[in-house]
Amino acid sequence: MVIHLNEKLCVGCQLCLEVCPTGCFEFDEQAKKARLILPLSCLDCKACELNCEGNAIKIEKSLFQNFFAQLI
Amino acid sequence: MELLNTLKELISISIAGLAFPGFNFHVKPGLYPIGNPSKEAPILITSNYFVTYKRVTASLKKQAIIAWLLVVDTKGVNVWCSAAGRNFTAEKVISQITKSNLSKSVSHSRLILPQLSAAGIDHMKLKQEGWDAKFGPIDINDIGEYLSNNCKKNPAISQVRFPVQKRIENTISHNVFITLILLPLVLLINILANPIGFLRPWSEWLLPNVLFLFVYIWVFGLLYGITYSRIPFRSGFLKGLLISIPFVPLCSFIFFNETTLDFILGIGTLFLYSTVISTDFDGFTPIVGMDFFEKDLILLALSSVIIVLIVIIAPLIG
Repeated sequence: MVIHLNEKLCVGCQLCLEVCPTGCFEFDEQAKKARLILPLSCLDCKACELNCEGNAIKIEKSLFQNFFAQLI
Repeated sequence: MELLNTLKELISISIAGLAFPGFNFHVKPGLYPIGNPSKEAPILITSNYFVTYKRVTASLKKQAIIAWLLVVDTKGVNVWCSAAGRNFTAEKVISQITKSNLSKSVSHSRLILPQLSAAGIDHMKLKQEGWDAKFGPIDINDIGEYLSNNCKKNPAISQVRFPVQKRIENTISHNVFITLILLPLVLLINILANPIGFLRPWSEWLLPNVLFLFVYIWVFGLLYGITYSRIPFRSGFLKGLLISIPFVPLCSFIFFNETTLDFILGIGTLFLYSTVISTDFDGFTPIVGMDFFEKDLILLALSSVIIVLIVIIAPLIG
């Protein structure tokens, strides 16, 4: 599983920060956009993808990408 | 009545992993007043799983919160699992709002949803229906802090935790599940491995194999569940492997010490049991996703093949 945040599409609503249960995102106050800071902590719950107002977040299924990085 | 409810809660938690449809752990969906709410009181939303409802109402009373509680029909499943399984959706919330005539009981349109329901609820759909939905804290025990902070969250109340009390609860639920899966399997293997099966004295196979496994599941499971957050790695398989390194040889030395071959076979079998238990426990934690679990299952499958080959080849070598 790989999480992508397209910062160009981010509208700065901060919903991703509000719904993420593992703190994958932070808010860049200067750019007024969300930033992905802990992609490996993502639980694949898809709450951010479902609620993102700018459709800026995409979660892709990928079994072998980041295989060991995620498990360790 | 309270004792009966507590007993029902314990049974519900214990068999939660079985998802057996015959058990009725549903609460009637609807609008429940907590205290004596006015039209301006906050509207909280939750699932209709019996344990969730009981804990939410108890926590609200403890925190002296006066509110409306809208219980949505999530087929008796808890918040996160029902959201992930698309049983707790914006459509279901809207349907329950209509059925409960919510707009007649309140004079505002602010809804507070449990944060973990965000995996299934698209807040934009609620907005389109005129409801201003916010995702509250993960744990209902933090709702007082959330409300008094003008519905603002800090990381401490918006990130999932897995404290020891929850770990023990989930371990019990998992142990019941794994016992009902592994015990019949090992029983069957024992019968198939010995064509005369039950004709052999039961003390020769039932006690050393099946009852030993039962005790092993509960001892290892509890040890693993309690120490879970202190063991390095995120992977349940690797955690199980690590904790097994001192535990398994010691058990094998105590219980399978007649010959060197017995000792080696004991180690192989116990490593297999331990890693099956620890990997499967991934699914009983709130901090592991499905994608992660699939990766762990690959490691378990590979190691199981190696162990089974050792168990088959070791007696042939001698």
